This record gives sequence, C-alpha cells and structure tokens, in this order.
Amino acid sequence: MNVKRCLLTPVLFFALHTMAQNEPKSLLVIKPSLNVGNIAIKRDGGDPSSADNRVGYGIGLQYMQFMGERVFFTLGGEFNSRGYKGTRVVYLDAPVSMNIMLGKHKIFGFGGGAYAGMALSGKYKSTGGWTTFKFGETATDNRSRTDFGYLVNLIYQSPGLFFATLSLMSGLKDITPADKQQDLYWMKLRTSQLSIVIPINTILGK
Amino acid sequence: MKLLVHTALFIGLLLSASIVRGAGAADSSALEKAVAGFSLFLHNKPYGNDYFNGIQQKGNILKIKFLKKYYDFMLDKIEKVVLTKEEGRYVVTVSASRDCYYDSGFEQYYKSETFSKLSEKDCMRFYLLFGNILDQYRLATNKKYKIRKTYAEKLAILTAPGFRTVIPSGAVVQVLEINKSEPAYKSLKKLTGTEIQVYGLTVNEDAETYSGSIRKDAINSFTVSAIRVKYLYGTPNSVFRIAPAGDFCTKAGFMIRKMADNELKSLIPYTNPDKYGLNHLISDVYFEELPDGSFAQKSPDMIGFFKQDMREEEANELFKRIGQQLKDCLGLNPEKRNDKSDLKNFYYRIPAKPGDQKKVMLLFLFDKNIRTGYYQVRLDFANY
Repeated sequence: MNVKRCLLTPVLFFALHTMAQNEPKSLLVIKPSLNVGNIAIKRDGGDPSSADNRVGYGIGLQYMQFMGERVFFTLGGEFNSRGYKGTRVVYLDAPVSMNIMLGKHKIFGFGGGAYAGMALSGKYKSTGGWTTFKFGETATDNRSRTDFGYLVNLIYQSPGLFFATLSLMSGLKDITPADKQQDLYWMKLRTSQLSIVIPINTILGK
Repeated sequence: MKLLVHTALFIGLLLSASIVRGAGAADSSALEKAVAGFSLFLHNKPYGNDYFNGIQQKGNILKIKFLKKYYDFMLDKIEKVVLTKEEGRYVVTVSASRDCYYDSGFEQYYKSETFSKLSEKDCMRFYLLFGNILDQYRLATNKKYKIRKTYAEKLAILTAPGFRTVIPSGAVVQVLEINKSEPAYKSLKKLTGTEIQVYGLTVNEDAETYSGSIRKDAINSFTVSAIRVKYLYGTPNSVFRIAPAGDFCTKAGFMIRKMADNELKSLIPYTNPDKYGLNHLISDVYFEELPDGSFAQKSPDMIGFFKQDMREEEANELFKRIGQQLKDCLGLNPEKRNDKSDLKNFYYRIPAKPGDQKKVMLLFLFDKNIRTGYYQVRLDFANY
C-alpha cells in the first residue's frame, strides 16, 4: 500500500505540472488509479455481508469531451485489478460518465454514469491455496465473466491544472454464474477508485 | 544371556510399536466410520432448493458437497457445534471465533454456518453425526482430548422436554453457577441463586451452560459466555405502562421518531419494513401518543430490538450517532458509557420532575452475539 502511494504521488505531481493551462474541447488522457475493492454477498435472504477490503490498481485511457465550460463527458477503457480479501481479478472496464464542475472557480464537481466490465483473469484463496478463477455461466464456473453497474464521480480540479477523481463503482449485476444462481443469494462487486488524468499531449478538438 | 535380553527387548519394542500403531488405526478407523455414517445420512438429501451431494474428509478438511457448491469445514478450527430450537425450528450451528469454513459458492471464509433447512428429525441426526466426526477427529489428532459427553448424550439433553436451548430476551432465570472464567466474575458471583432477567441466552456446546447477555440490575448488564441457569418463566404478560412522564417521554418520542426517519433508516436498511420498521416499533410498542400530543411509554417487556445481526462497523457508527442525537435533542450526557468491542452501551438517568409518576432511565445497549459475531442493538426503558 505504501509502495503504491509512493509511486502514485510523483505521478500526480508530474501530471499537475505538465498539464496545459488552456481549456481544451476534448482530451485523450492516461488514467492511472488505485482502488479499494469489496464485495456484497447476500446469503439466504439475510442482510448483505462484505469481505475485508483490499487495495488494487489500474491503468487505462479516457476520452474527455467538454460541452461548455462546466460539463464534460468521459468514455474510457481501463485494466483494473479489483480485489478483496482472498480474491483478485483483473477486469477490462469501460466506464462512461457525464460530469459537471461547480462554483465560480470550478474546483469541485460531480458526475454519474455506468460501467461495464469483463473479467480477464483472476485467482482466489480456497482451502486448497490460491486457485485460478473459472469464468463463465455454468455450474462449474466460479463466477460470471461480465459485470456492470453504476458509478458516481467526485471530482477535484486544481485551479488552472487538471483533475483527480474519486469514483464509486457499484455493481448491479449478480456475478454468480447463471447456472448457480439461486433465489435470495447474490454477489455484487463494489469498488472505490481514486484516479488522476494525464493528457497524452494531443488536443483533439482544438 | 546378553543375546536373550536384547532379543526380548527387540520383541518388546516391536510389540509396543504394533500396539501404538493399532491404537492410531483404531482412531483413524473410528473417524472413517463417523464420516461414512454422515455420508450415508446426507446421500441425496434435499436441503432447501439444493441437495447434499456427498462428503469427503481429508486431513483437517471435511468437505460437504451440494449440487452447485461445497463447504470446506476446517475440523481443527471448529469450536462449537450447537443444536438450538429457534422459532419452533431446530437448527445446527457450526462456529468458531475465527474463520472455520470455506463456502465455494462465494469463495469466502466464514466463522459460522447455520443449517436451518432440515426437518426436525434430520436436524438432530445432522447434529449427532457432525458432532461425532468432530469428536473422532479430535481424538485422532489430540492425545489429551477426552470426550466429556458424547453428542448422543448432548442430543438427549438438548431435546429433553422442558429444556430450552434458547432463552429469549425478557425471560427470568435462576442463576445456578457463574463460571470463574467470566470476565466480570467478581461482579457476577453474588448473583448465584438469585433470579434475574436475561437479554437472551443460547446454550453452549457443552449442553449445560449458556452464553449471551444478562441483566444484573436496572443499570448493569453483562455479556456472559458460560453460566448455568434454570429457566423460570418468560416475559411477564402484563403490559408495562408509565403514565406520561412529562417532558422526557415526549422529547424522547420525537427524538427517536426523528432518528427513525433519518439516521437510523439510512444506517439500517430493513429487509421487511412492515415487520421491523422503526416507526412501527416505536409508535406501537414503545410509545403511546396521548390526546394532548405528549407521549407515554408502553411496552410489554421494556426491551426492543432495533436491529439484529449488525456488523461491528455499523454498530460503531450507530453508537456514535445515537450519542450525538441524545446530546443534541435531549441535552443529555450519558451517566455511564461503555465502548468496548463486546459491549457498548449508554445509560441516561432522567431526573424526576414534579408530576412524574416514575423515574425513567433510557438505555441503549449494543450487544455482541458471541456465537455469530454480530451485534444486536436494544433500546430499553427502566425504572429506578
């Protein structure tokens, strides 16, 4: 965790110092991130329980389209290692969101949207040790390969610089394989992701 | 002569080795027999919407298979196998203070699993056979382990007419013995022989002692892990009623209603609002709104559950918020406050005012269920 923090801090400073002062119409950015993952498990109709959190990481590309001074749209493709205690899965996520910056100085903003994810690989710790996940929808699979949900963004923009985003991604899909699904049981992923954006020095719309 | 002595010693050594090996084999075969018995019992047995699909025992792992998942019980970590009768149904709970089984359906480890979808007869048999495996495993792996009571003997006790595996909140018991291992032994030992009210007790694995929470007096309640009690009678049926207690009941009524509509509702998502809705609980059980707009308290047992099975983080959060609300709304600081992992509570003594017929005390108690590891939150009014 500390190592990840140490790695992320210089990246953040680099990003803030190198970002353009001019406000572009659209941007393609690199988006490194850290996340805290968890899972909500409903068993037998009881209240959902969760596992212990675990820190994960990710990197991706994001396209940002500005619509006026305050509103912007994002579309991304990211590789995220999203895990929790005893489990780690790499997802290819595609989030889309609409965001708005608030106040005179447009320092803070918020947004919302949706994401879809596809599990690429993963492992979990069973009584037999670390085991590779089998993704699919049959009774012999561990979990569904796909995931989707909604996301909420809280955005901070350093004046004249660029964005850091806290995204809360909450799964809507039961990731239990279809053949194993039962009434009163479900598993849904929850992820909180802190990311920054670094422009790829290509201002597309200007 | 020397040769004879050496030969005798060698033969003696061989014999003793074979006896030791034989004893080990006997233990191992008893375990295998117990596993085979359990396997036969569970063969194709329906369980809710699923079926048992065989068992396997390898080392410390007892794998119970279902059609679509399996449970791996770690026999060396299981601490308790308990049979209880809850809401008219027998259930078997296998638990430990740490993770003791793995659920492949969720790829998660858990501390406790309750088997509640078996018929009464099957539940008893399940308890007996699972317990036998545990006993045989412990005998095979721990030379010092002695069976004090077999699971057959425990089953006979637990299912005997009149025996209560669960003593509900509000019931009155006679304390027979307080175990010296109780953390609050010094405070509790004087209770031996007296009658007390309980906040809920559940029989322990030994089929003799109970764990849960007891009420020592109007102020003090204790979490206990192994006390011997005799059940006397349940919650008194007479309706407990306090005539309008002046400002306090009115303020408390409004405050709790406000909390029910705000903090508590957001903190505690109820699965069945009709049954567990706080407004319902509060307006119909605790308070009676009088024609003059004030509230009087009414409650048959003076105790109510806000929520069962609350996780520690939720309990900590709610505990903080309740404290703040009571300070903001009623201007009250607690007379006594505990914020420990296993016991959290506030006590507010409300000073009597002219016209009040009773002195009222408000108690919020967060009680950790030792068996499940979850908290229960109770609101209690008492007289003093």
